[in-house]
This record gives sequence, C-alpha cells and structure tokens, in this order.
Amino acid sequence: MRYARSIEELHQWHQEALSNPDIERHEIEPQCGWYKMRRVKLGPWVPVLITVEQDIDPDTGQLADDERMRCEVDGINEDKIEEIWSHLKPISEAAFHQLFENRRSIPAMKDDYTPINLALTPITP
Amino acid sequence: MNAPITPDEKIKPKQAELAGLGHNNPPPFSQEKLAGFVERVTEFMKANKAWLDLKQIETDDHAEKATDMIAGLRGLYKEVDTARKAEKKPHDDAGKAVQAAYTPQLDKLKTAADKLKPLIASYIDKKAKAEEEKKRKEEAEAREKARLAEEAAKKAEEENDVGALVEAEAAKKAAEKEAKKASAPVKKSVGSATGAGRTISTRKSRHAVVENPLQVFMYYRDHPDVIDVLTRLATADVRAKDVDETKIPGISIAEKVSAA
Repeated sequence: MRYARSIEELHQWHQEALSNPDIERHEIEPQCGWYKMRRVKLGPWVPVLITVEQDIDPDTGQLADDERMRCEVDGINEDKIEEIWSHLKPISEAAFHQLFENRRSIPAMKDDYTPINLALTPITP
Repeated sequence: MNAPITPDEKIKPKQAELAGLGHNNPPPFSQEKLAGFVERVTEFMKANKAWLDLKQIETDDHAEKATDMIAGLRGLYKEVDTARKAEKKPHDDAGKAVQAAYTPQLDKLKTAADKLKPLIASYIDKKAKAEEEKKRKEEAEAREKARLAEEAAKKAEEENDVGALVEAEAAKKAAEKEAKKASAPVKKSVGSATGAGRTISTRKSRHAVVENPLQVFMYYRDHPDVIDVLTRLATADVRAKDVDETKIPGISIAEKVSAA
C-alpha cells in the first residue's frame, strides 16, 4: 500500500530550509516548494516552483502510480530539474508571488539573460 | 595716398567670421557627459523622494527594493566619481607639471633665506647686547650727574647763591634727560640698505615642555580636547578584537545600529 504524501510532508524540507540556510541538500533529490534562481550572474531573479504529481485511486485513496516531480521556471515547464536544483534558493510562497509581480513591474527584470545594472534606472517603492 | 590693397587682402575673410568667439577657450570638462549624469541623478532623486515619503518600511518586498535602490545609488555614485576623476586628471597632471617646474626654484629661495636669517639674528643679538651694556653705563653716569647736580643745588640754596642754584637745576634736568634717553629700549632690528627691503627683527616665541605628563594631564583633564582624545583611544580598543575592554576603567559601551 502506498499512500500519497501530505502537503506538509512534501514541503517539510522547504520549510526547514527557509529558517536554516545550511540545511543539507542532496544533489539528485529536489524538494517541493517555492524558489528563486538566476539564469546568469547578476541577472534578475526568476521564480521556480517544484511540485509533485500524484495519481490517487479514488476507491482506495492510495497512489495508483509513482509520484512525479514537476518543475516550472517562470511558469514554464522545466524538464532538467536536477541541473538547476543546486542553484535554487528557497523563498516563501508570498515572496514567490511577489517575484512574479516584480518581474512584471520592474523593467530591469524583463531580460533573464542580461545582468542588472541598478545604476541605470532607480527602483521605486 | 593709401597703400595699395593686394589680392590676398581682398579674399581673406576676418578671423572672427571663421570661428565663434571663445573657440580657443573650451570648458574644462565635457558638458554633454555631465548633462547625461545630471539627468540620471535627477531621476534617482525623484525615486529617493518616493522612498522617503513612505516614512517607514513595512514589508520584506519594500525592504529588498530599498536595498536595490541603495545599490543603484552607490553604483551611480561610482560611475559619476570615475568620470569626475577622468575629467580632472589632465588638469591635475598639468598642475603637477607646473609645480614640478616651479617648486625647485621656490625651495632654493626659501632655503637660502632660512640659512641667512640666523646670521642676521645672531648679529642683531650681539649688537643689542653691546648696546644695552653701553646704555646701562650711560644711564648710571647720567644718574650720578643728576645726583651731584642735586647736591650742588642744595648747597647753592643754603648759600643763597642764586647763580649756582640755577646752573645746578639746569645740570640736574640735563642729566635726568640723559638718563631717560639711556633707559629707552634697544632697537633689535636691521633695516634695508637700499630702502627697498623689509626690516628684519628678532622675536622670541615660547612653548611648553612637558616634564611630568601625569601632572599636566590632571591639569587639563576636563578640557574638551582631552575628552575627545580619550574617547578616540577607548573606542579604538573597544572595536579591536585583541583588546579586553573590561580592563579599560571609566567607560561604558554604547551601540549604534545603522544600515550598511
């Protein structure tokens, strides 16, 4: 019998990582949660979401298939999750949604592959 | 009859018509570059006002954006300062070249005068001492004459010798005048031989020599300058990693929080 992990279990590592920056991180074990990363050095933050797809049998309440990791970078599906995992910085869900808003409103954040020069345009409240 | 006008003079235009006035005196820096910076700085000032108008920062997002704003201010400051230094360098280099060319001559002149002044001072001092000795003797002689004249006057008075009395009074006055002249201060200066040079005089200056530092410190212990020095020394030790601040008597530690 395989039961689907709860939301709390799936986000346990992420919750601990938010308060402990030195938490152990295994290279090939991405964890569910909300993250940010840069595509280039000094580039703008990009939001990353890691979730798990669970097929649950409605009759038994158990997993009908293996859990599958899903990753979205800036809302777009990303297959190479292991390649970017070590570059992801855990953030809160609120900060994740704020990051989407900032990328929309701050012109300097529009190009993911161009380092940001904060001296060109001021950041306003 | 007027001088003939040559073909060249007819054709050649006046110099002022070729180039604008002041074309040989350009501004010391690029106006265009500066204008670019002024525009960017103005934009940053407007944004900074928007931040300051908030009065307080209440959210993580604002705190992070304000941090980026400060990074922007610092980055722009660095750009403007780098440009400033680049614009200033040719002028600094020119100034240094002028200094390098002129200063050796100035040094020679100053050193020459500084080496000569002690010779004059020594002469003035020697001469003044001789003069003072001479005047001392003259004053003593004059006082003696005045005393003798006083005695003669008394004797003439007693003998009702009016003629002798008048002479004695006159002699006494003359002697007193001589004594006064001899007691006047001796001149300690040397004038100009030609009339064009400044008079050189000697002057004495006084300075303290600290024989007992503790006594001097106790005397000045409440002076603001002394408090400043003590604060500076104690603060340096409080901030040093290898100093045990508990061993410093008479202080307390204050902490100030600032963003950096």
